[in-house]
Amino acid sequence: MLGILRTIWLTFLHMFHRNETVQYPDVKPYLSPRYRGRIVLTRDPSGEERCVACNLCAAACPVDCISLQKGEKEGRWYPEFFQINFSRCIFCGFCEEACPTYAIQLTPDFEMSEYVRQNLVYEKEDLLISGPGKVHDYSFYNVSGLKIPGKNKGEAENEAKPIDIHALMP
Amino acid sequence: MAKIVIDGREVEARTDVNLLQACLEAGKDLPYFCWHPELGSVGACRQCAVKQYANADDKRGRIVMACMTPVTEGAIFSVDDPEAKEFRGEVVEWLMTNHPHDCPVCEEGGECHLQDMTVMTGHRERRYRFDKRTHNNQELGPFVKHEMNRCISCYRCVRFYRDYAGGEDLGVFSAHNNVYFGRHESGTLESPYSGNLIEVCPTGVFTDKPFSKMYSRKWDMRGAPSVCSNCATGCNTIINERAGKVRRTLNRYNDEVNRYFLCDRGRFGHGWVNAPTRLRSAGYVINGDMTPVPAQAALDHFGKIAATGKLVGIGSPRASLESNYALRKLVGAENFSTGMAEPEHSLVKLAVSLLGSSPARIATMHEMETSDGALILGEDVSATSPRMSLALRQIKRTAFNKAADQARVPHWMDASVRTLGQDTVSPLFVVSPTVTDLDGFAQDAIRAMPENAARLGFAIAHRIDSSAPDASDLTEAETASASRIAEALLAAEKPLLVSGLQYASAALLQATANIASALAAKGKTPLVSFVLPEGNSMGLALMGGLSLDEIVSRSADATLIVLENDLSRRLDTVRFNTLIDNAANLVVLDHSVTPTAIRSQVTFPSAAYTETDGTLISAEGRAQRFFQVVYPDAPLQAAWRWIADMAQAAGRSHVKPWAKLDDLIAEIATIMPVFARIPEAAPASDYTLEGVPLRSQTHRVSGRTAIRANISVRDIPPPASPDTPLHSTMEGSYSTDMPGTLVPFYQVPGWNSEQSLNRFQQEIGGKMRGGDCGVRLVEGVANAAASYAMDVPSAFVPRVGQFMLLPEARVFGTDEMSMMAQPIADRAAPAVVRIGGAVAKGSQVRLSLNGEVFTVDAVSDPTLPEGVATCPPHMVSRSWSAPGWVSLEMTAPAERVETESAV
Amino acid sequence: MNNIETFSNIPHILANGTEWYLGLSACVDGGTKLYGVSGRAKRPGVFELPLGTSLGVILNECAGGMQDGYKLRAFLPGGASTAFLGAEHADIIMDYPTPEKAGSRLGTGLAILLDDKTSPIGMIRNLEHFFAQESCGWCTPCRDGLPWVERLLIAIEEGRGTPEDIERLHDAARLIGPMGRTFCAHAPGAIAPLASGLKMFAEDFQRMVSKSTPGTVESGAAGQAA
Repeated sequence: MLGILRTIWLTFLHMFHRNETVQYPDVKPYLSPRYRGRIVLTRDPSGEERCVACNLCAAACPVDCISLQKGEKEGRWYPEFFQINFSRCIFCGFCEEACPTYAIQLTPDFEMSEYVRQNLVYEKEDLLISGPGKVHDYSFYNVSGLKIPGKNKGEAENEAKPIDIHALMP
Repeated sequence: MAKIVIDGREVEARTDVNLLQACLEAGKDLPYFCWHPELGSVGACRQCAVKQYANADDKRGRIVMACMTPVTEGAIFSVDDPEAKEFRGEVVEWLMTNHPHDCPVCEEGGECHLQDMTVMTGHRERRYRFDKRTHNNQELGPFVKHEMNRCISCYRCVRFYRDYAGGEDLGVFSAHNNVYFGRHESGTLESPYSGNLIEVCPTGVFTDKPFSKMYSRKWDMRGAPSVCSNCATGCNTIINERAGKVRRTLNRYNDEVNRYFLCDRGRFGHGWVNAPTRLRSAGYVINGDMTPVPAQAALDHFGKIAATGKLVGIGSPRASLESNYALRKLVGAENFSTGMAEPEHSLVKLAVSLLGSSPARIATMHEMETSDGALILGEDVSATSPRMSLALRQIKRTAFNKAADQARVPHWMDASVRTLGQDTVSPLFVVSPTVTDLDGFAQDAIRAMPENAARLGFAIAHRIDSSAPDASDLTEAETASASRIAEALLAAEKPLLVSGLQYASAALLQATANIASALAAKGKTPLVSFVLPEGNSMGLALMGGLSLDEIVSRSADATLIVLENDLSRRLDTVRFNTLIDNAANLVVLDHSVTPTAIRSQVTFPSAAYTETDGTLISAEGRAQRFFQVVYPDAPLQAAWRWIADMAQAAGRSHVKPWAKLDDLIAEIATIMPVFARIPEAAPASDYTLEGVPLRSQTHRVSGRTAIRANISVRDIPPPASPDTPLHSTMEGSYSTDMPGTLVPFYQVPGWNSEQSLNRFQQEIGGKMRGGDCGVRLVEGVANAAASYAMDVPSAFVPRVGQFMLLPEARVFGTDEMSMMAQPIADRAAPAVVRIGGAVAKGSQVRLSLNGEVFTVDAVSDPTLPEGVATCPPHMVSRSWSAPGWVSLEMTAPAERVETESAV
Repeated sequence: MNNIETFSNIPHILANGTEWYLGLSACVDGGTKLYGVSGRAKRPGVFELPLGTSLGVILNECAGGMQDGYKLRAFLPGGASTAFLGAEHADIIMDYPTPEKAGSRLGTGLAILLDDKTSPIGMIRNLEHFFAQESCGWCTPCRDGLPWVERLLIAIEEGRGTPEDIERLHDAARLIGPMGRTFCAHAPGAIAPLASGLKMFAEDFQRMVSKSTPGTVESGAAGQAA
């Protein structure tokens, strides 16, 4: 009997404890920059999309919710389409870890609810943002060997000028 | 066999292979780059370093290259020795100093031999901190993409292209770390085997250009074992698909047929399955226009028009055996045509009957490579069967190997063998009206018109066995040639005779058969091969049927059902129109729009070979099964299923539907004894490996929940087909022991590239672990009594004022379906008439072919005799393909007109 | 024709006999040898002398000794692809066995001299540049390993080297040097001056990587290949 009364007293005291309730949506919770929320596709510092349609994110995804098709524009690889089925996504971040160009990133945004499940399928226009996301300085094409507009052979960060095989001088 | 010790384990190894091969066959992973099973060892990359110990007491050992080390009894090696391991890792580090950071944007990624070897050696950290050397790329044509930065200088490309395939325009330039592999300038690679560079190159220097335009990673694609149908050789392929679209064709190893290589027509000729020329819906003519309708409506319409009256069927040598049989069953054998016109129809039948009654053995392409006395009689094999020509090219290695044996150099030590053999004479004789690609190394390349080539053949047979008829009035040169060739063939242990149907000459086939009989009469076992025109020519010849010419009279007022055949390629315009106008109705089943299909009253869209399953019989008489990689949307289905539906709709109850392909195959095998063995061509669709059906996708296939999400976010069950033993998904069994006929892709842990094929073979370069592919239906009669054709033709006599126009077969251009693939069409050169005699540059010629007049560009060809000209079949006149006399009216360059292609 | 110098002896042997030929030399192998020096000698050149002549004779009598102001520090007895020998071997008998016992080779018989005012790193860099460039491009260690070695030496000589760079040079010497690793003897020949130089001039290398500016020594002149 005493135990029950004690419990009721302690519960009563809770009315005067400080609330931990966060008055969402007027007050948003703090999310760290590494919070694994909504996935975006970012652009490199020059404004071109970073994604090179290498398919590593799709291969890494444990639930196979990423599908894309490589296209090529003047030597640059890019995704013709890029679909993520967010009704399947588990926000594990494996795609972000796998991406070699820092294109795909998870952002601290979880506010993605939809009434219609079909609307949870995001296409490239829903994913592509206009900035570099969390990684500000990386441009993959500056370190790869492909020739693209603005970067000829030999103009990457670690490349020598192309060999002239007809040159006779050493 | 010798006993050697590898890392303390005693292993039985073959003594005629190098140590690298022995290690791989013993299941030991040893990295390599420049060695290739068909190209031998050269010791360039230094990747396969192992430790060799002088004896059991030698604890230090020395590093040797496994690919350059022979297998000797009692030898002691170590692969895992720390020094050898460190060296192998360092070799990769050296290669990586210049390798670009390209993997995400490289088509080779995911099936890259360099990736695999890098992981295998454990090299992980980049310690080179200086600049990478770069190269400019070249445009090499519509097939092969060039990215020289990625090159690791293994030299495989030039060794394949130049040494193995005889090409001349790809080479090595410059020296030291500037070495460059390319042409002297950008330009289309000339060799018809250039596509093999894609598989031979261990990195992404040479990649598949058409595939790159619809690229998908290897792990993402579904694979299926298939058979190329662009000629009658029957090379085995793997086709890859993603998202319902066929992406590329790869080589599938068949120990006896194509082994490691394909020709470019086979590799790049599949694009028509995705082209806008595909028929994708059933239809019938309403108010004068072909109108797409639901399948049942078309069947009902067919039922109405075919309810009474005769049904006549025209089969096709480019359709599967099963579809042809179903049509034959529906219309009855007496109303069934093989779909071939004369002279092709009779010639194919003659070829098959000669093969079946000859004492010679039908040669496999693998056997051809080691012949020590070969005669190509009157056929440009390099154009009519390029893959066979590649096999024939290896005959020169027979002479090389003899020289190597004398010098006690093993055959796999490739550079040395080729150096020793450079002055040898190849035991190959080519007799042909035109220059062929094999002429360059043949002992004798004789120019002779088809009649004269046949006469030479008869003369050779007579000089082997005098009871064979001789040709009369031979010139001195011809007599000398005949004696020389007869002598060479008699001296050979493996004499080989090749001819074909290019020049529509029965005499050539008979002469070849005579030589075979003569050799057999002298106690030899000759090998023989006839090049046939189309993927299932042999199948139709064995099935039997009327020629197109004969069916014309039978189809008056009948309902004509044409199965996957474009009659405008076989009949001249007058006869084509007559046939169609005389028939009461024209019903066409085809996968693509053709001039025949657009004349039809009812059309049914049949599934292409990538979307269905069936059997083709190659020119070798080998029945091989092809399997689907795409599960097509309705109403596409196999032609034989349409035929069963059509039979039901038209009340022809003697044709009952077949639930699955195996049922149809079993029926064919029972009803037609010549096909009794086709069920053995591949396991049935209920095949399981360790109790589980095979899978056709890799474990890493991705995007399953997103790939269809733009259509609907809801999952649907994976597609299925009762005709194929391969499951459409990644669930299922897979093993290096699986039947060779069912391999959907090559991959084993650690080996993601096509080099993993090594694990699927019992001995590298030998049979697949899971057994042979296909089953031979036609064999010669081993001890047949010699019987000789006695009809020797008279010599060719030129006519004044006329030209003998011969067909110039082409790898790119003269085959029907491959020309509907964009890369092949891009590669094909425009049609041109070559004339023996002087022709002003820029001239054109007017000529009449099959009743129609055409204007074509003309060039002079000094290798042709006066009064002889060549023209590519089907490219000027759609139906012309057989030699004939023509008048050529030259028009001056000033009066040039633009010409239209018939293709 | 592989070696013209050897071949040119044959007419004379045929004309004058083997006894005469054997009598010409100062050691057990017969005949004369073309000897020479290059580097900071007073009269660099090629001299025909009895096989087995000492380097002292070649350098001091025929070539006039070192130039004024320069002292011999080390030398490559047989040309670019032989190992360094220190100045204490300056009088070494130039036959086949003696240089080998000392750790090098007779090679071409034409010595390259390193004086005390020339940077040994610069000399080795020049040699490796030559070897990297003369590589045919067939096998990996030579084609891709030697340019790396050259770049490491350039960095060290120009004051941009690190201690790891010296380790990489040691790795290259250890992995490329022994016979059998490469398709021919070109790369092991290239490693000979490098491996011996890393040992003999270890202090110079150490000093260069701990400096932040390039040294004020000449480079290159002493390293011109014979």
